[in-house]
Amino acid sequence: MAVIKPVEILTVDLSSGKSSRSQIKDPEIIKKYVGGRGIALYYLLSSLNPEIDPYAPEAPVIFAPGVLTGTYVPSSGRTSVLFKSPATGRIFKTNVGGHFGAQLKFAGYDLLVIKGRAEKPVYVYIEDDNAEIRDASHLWGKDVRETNRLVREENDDPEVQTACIGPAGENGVAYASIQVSIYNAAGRGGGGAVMGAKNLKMVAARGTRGIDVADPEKFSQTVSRLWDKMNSVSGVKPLSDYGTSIGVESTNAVGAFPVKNFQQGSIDNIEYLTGPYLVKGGFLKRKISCYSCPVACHRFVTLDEGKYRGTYTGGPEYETLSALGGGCFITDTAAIIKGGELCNILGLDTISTGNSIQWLMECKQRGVVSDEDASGLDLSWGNTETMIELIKMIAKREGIGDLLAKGLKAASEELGKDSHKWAIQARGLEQSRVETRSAYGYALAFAVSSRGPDHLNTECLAEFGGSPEARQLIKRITGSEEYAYPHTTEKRAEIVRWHEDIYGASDALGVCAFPTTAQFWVDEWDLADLFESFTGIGADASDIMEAGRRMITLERCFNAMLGYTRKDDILPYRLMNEVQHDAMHEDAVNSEQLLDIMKDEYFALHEWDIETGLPTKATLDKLGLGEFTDKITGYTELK
Amino acid sequence: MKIFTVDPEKCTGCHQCELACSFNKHRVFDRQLSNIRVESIEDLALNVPVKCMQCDDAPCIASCVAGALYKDPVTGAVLWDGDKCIGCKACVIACPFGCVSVIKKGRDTQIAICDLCSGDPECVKVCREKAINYVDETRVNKNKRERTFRKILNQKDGVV
Repeated sequence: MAVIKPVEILTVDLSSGKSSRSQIKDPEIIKKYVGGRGIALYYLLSSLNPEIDPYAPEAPVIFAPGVLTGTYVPSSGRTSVLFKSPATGRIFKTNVGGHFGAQLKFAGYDLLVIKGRAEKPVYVYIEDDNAEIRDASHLWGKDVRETNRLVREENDDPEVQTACIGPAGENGVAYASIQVSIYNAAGRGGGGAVMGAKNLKMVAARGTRGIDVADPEKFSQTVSRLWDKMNSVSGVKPLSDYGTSIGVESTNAVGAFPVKNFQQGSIDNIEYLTGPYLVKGGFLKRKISCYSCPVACHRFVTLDEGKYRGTYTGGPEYETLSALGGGCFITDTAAIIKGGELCNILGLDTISTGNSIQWLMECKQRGVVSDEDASGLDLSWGNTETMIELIKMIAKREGIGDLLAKGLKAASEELGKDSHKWAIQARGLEQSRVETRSAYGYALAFAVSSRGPDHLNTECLAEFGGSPEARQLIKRITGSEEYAYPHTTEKRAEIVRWHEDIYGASDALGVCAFPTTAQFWVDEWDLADLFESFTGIGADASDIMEAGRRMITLERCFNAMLGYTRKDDILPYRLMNEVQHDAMHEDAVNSEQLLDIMKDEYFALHEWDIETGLPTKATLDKLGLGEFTDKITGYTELK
Repeated sequence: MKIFTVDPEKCTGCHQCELACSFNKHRVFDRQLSNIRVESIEDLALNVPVKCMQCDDAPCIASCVAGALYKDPVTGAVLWDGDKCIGCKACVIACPFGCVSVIKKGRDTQIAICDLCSGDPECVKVCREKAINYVDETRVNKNKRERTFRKILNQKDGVV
């Protein structure tokens, strides 16, 4: 048996200008936390004061590629990015594709921790053993595309991969993204603003080392098995052919496509927001893969005519088509692509940006804000120019863009006048474009997520039963295919918890969530075989799922130390208090009572205290997390 | 006779081909060891897989004074004989496509050229988009003609 490879950690301190290396060698720790998101959480819980100001120099931003990132495991190129979110004030895990994580791994690192604050703009350049902090004065103020171009040029190396911020991150927009190279984003939670506060424009990585495997034969056999499954499931071809927007039309058809800021569940002319239309309209030029992903769900689109001629960008993804499109009552494909390009190069999360613009448009609808308040922009629903101008104003914090840049929670509090009732956010995070009133599993998942209300800690698409594989999975979790029905509270707790576990495990291994939670061609047995054959550390499917549960539990504990409990597990006001009349079932609302039924079951299933929603000391012991009990009880009471 | 074809318009830049080559040959994931390399202009999402073209009149073989390079009579791939090689690297300089590499194996230096995996290339197996293919010579032009045909049909929008 090969020697167990340690987890290699590189810490760069921008205040002192020094970098240092360390290792985690204990196979028991590696088995418990797997890697990526898991190891990063172990590091954060062990070392960080949870009450720290997200913008304080000591608050780290951590880049954590998965265990398998850099290998040929299909769809394994992902990287988790963790920080304390300025938007939510809580722990925040984002996860991003692209090619940056693979370069970090080839340079020899499993975890990159960046702390401190530079006196003036810098970027961190990593090439194998060499980690330098370099001047970035010439890059500050530049957009993401230009920044990447300049860094590749000055290093005379087109293969440098980067994680960088645009003007929005420099200006502290609460939902500024960290863009990975040009076409991918660790978009949510305001990581871009955290980097901006550190005067950190970019991390650039280049690695030339190889990655070896403990048991190559078993590893390649497992990968062959995954290829067979990938080629046989029903969902891969549509995703590859049309991207994430493949789901738009069906979502609209069942009245679950959030339109006009979640006031409606469908929109006419939906065709213009669909993946097939990106092809038919001549927008799609090529498909783009993340590292090592044969599916290539990302798009490269251009606008060759009209007033936005010369536009080129990645996407638009489902979320962008909804956030900048349907949600704003816009079905002009070209305008949405232009808006997407601006968000990508200015460094803005498209979901939060879109939700903010919709909120402002609804403020006008309700007579709370006038066009004059927005520098004369026509805030009527469906105005494409307004959508595009507001994106620029948010990034630059100009005019009313400054209010929107604070995030919907702060903006609606500042404006008052009941505007929180149509601010589609909870706990500081703008809800992703999922109509949770039509999907109760999603409603529960969003309510209890450590991030806030979105699908990126727990994607439970299977509850719709949209494919044979989805129905099969629901049967495996609940005992019956009947529960592949999203308008019931029954068995939602079981479904959500299973998805949380595998999502954590996927993040830790660097495997994309689509294979595990949307097309279902990677399961927990596959993940265990990959982990075991790659690391040489024995693990079975239950070990891998339990590692995922540790991550969920640790994130819960982090937020518990800040005083957050069951009462904070809520959804945006509108979704809890207003019925969605376009839905396919009666009383489509995520009422407090409805959430309470599911939360009771969910906390019981986790063996957490039902009253507070906090993990108990006994549960922590059972999961092997007892070492953190003293730290946690220093901040909050545990039963 | 089969030939190796590349269709850059279809390449998505996943790098599976490089990883499969390196792992198949060396049991490690290291693109420096791969005999196929994807060159990218990321800004425009352009990716081009490049590998040995199996030239009939191969400049690498002609440049080799030691007689260390020769053709596989079955596949036409250029093969390397480490016992004869003197390490002058003339072949690396001679290749007009940048497809002859010097690689380190422990303390040894070797010359690496695509050997077509003895007629069953691993890189082709992992290219889901079929941007790289290993097909019969007679098939190549036929595929192109058929594609043109399909384009015309599509332009007529559903008229079949």
